[in-house]
Amino acid sequence: MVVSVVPLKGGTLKGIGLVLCAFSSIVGVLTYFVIGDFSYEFVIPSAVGSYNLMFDQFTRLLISISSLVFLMVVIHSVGFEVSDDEKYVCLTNLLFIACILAMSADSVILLLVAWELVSVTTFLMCYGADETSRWRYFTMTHMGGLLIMLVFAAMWSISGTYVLSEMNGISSIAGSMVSSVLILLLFIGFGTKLGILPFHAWMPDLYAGAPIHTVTLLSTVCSNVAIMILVKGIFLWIGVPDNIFLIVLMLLMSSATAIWGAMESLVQTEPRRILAYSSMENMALVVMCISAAMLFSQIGSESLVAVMVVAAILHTINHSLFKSLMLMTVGTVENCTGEHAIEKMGGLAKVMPVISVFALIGTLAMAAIPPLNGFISEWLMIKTLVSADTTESVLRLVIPLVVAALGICGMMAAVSYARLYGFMFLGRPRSEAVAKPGPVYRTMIFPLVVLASLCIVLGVFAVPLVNEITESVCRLFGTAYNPSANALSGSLNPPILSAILLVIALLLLLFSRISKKKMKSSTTWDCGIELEKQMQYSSSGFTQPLVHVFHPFYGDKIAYANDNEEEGSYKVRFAEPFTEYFFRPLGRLVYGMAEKIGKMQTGNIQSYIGYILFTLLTILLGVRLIC
Amino acid sequence: MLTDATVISFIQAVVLIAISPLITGLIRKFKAMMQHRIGSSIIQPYRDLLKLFRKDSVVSESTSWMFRLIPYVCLSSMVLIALMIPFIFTGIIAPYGDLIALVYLFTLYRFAMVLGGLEGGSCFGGMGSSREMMMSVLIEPALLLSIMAIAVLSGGGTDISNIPVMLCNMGFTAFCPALILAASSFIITMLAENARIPFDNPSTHLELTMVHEAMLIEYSGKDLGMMELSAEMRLTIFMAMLCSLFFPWGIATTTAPSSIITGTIAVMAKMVTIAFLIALLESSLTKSRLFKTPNLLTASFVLSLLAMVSLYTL
Repeated sequence: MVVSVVPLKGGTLKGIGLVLCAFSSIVGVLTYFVIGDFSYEFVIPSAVGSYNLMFDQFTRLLISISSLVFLMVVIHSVGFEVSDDEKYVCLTNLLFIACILAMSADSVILLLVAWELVSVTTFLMCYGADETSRWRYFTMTHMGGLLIMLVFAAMWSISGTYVLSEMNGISSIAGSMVSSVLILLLFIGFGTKLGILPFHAWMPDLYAGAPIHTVTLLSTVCSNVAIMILVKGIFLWIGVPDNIFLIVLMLLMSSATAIWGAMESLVQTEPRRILAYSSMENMALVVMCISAAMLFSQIGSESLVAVMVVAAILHTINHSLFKSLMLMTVGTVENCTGEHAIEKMGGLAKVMPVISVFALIGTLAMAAIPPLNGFISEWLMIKTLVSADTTESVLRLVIPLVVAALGICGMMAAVSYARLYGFMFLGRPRSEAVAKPGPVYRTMIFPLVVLASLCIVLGVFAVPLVNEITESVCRLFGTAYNPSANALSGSLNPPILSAILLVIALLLLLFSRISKKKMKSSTTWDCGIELEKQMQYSSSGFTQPLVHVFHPFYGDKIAYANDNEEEGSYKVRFAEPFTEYFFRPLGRLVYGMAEKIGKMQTGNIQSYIGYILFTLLTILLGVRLIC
Repeated sequence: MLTDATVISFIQAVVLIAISPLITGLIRKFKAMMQHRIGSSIIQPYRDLLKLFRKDSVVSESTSWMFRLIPYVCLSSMVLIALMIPFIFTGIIAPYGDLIALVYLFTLYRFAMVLGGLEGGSCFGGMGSSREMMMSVLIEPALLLSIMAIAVLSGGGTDISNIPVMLCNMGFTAFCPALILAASSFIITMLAENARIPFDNPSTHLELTMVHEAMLIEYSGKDLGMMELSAEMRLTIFMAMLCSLFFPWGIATTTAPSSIITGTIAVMAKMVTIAFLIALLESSLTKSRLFKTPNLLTASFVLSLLAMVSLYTL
């Protein structure tokens, strides 16, 4: 049921905030099409000079896409209710500004401040998520922020300038060892946001609890910011160091993350958690591309470096489209039915046919099914990897392994998405609420229409987008851009391929219409026993054979008594091994140490003065000895 | 505009589609002969299809709008692949996608079929889908890698029509470990992908196998006919790929009549041989337990990985 009148929950302040945010994101979308390259200088007298903004083509492209997602999220959020609506909208505005500033910042200080603002606003926007997961996110993202700060401070002191566009490959000054360490720290720093193993531990819980719009922005826009700064940092500001060990380490970490994300998403019991792991997997694929590009620059095939980075950026863009589509679809379903668990859903395609169409498009795009956009970027990744002409001995072994990792995680992710769509929308309803969902507002459908059609259009007509990305990447790297040499040219022609597919399907349809046959409706074949709602395959059962095959990689099952539902029901969930066996013991260790140290806190002022004296003396003595 | 090459590649695609029920009939006949049975006629699959297309269909009330589209998606993706595969002649009618796109088109087919299995909301469909997905996690990477290995071996890139030509030109130097490894991996993949013994038993319904047939349980009449036809086409396409990508010797490289005739005879001989080998395997092996199949599938994956590695290191 689609309702066109949308009740605006919350006051006028919320309305003003939403309009402002929508307006600024429309401006953001237009930046790519309207303005050319320009840089702007905030003249703020300060100790560290002025704060510059730089809008080059590459930045503008990503700003446009991110603003588009922002706009859709804002429109989608109109009919939703979040506690403290006004504050939430205000924070959304702040997050938008922070993201734009972080992407366009050309000064080290501005970039760090903006990135910090992104982290803090997203943290504040996570109403509803339980305290543990919020603080886990806060801690991890700040640990990452700290590493990023360290890297940029080092870059500043090495290059002697705070203007980022003036840092041209400081690795030539700093040497291979220092720049390798810098890149690794940068990788881990942004990896905490992208969910690189083992820094993904905050993701599933936060995604499951936070408002859906926060999650969408976190998964798409914030990841775009991180990827953009990472690409610029590695290839432009620091420069690829001559260190094969670093690159192999990065490839290893990202492939492990991709496979881990795909594998864990198979056993999740909430759509949001599945999408959290999927986010992690997709971002790992992007980082894998970036690492592969570093590998290619190492072996001197400069043309492939640009193509690999293009693949990374294309996948980032595609990911932000299909993931925001999927997350908002899930949000709509949850809003209308009130159910969060996949085991309670089912049969939604019959009662919400419109939503199910968008969900199907999003699912197919995520699973890289031709001719949707996810397929194009995965195709480009594999194609570029295979076309590498290597002579170096180590790399010869690396490439087949990376292709294998891509294949495995791609297929596992496809299984997981088939399960997501199949058990949410197909079959018979598994609970009362799902059988009779509430109304869907027009404002919830409009963003889904836009994003779903973009998923199709950017899949079928990917060539212009790839051209734009190639041009911007070439200009960023200062290499010559050759418009005729398209990365997609020659071997893949998505428009004709999909046209043929469509024509064949239509012909078949026409052919089958000629011989009109009667179509009878009946119940599902039930072996003579009337089927109850639980008598169908469950989503956990669906992936049980895979869990059986890969069981050493899954943690133990955790059972919860479920007190807010009917008697005797309980939940079973697979423990995330990294949280269970790494972070929890670590946390206990820290607590234990803190308790031991806490014994020093006597509350006696004299002893505190004693501590201060002791500390001062030690420091002074230490400085004296070293210098 | 209509060159000889276009006409011939169109005809070969039509032939490939037309003979696919025949190939299934042939395998059944070979199996019957090995088991000392007379067996049904080799044109029985055509009769079955014709019968199914004439029947009315029954659709479950639990299914959504998508259910009726799935047979069309499955069949048209298979027809599209048939247009992209060199069979008798190295030219193809639709050179708009490469090997990677081919693998992903198979994924489209499988994805549609799996969702179709979940449509009815019964246990059978779900079980079939679940098991199909378990196998595909191991099949798909092996398929991708073995095909990539051939692409790298031939040096012709990922373009499908280049590979047979390049391999033919290489002569005996193409018989390297990589080809053997990739081909053995591909054969295992072919059996698994097409639900043959030891992965699944194509000649039973429900009781024992519960993979491919279980997913089709809710289809009937015309829809079932389309699903059956696309399954038969998939088997034929895989056999054609084995013929023309892995062992392309004999394939017609020019449009000269003599070359085409040789190509036709060669490919038919190869197809019959493969059909015979499949029948032999199916008669001498038993269907293995579901949780035994990952062993063989992992072996196939490792073989294809080794093929790829051996290309880069040897």
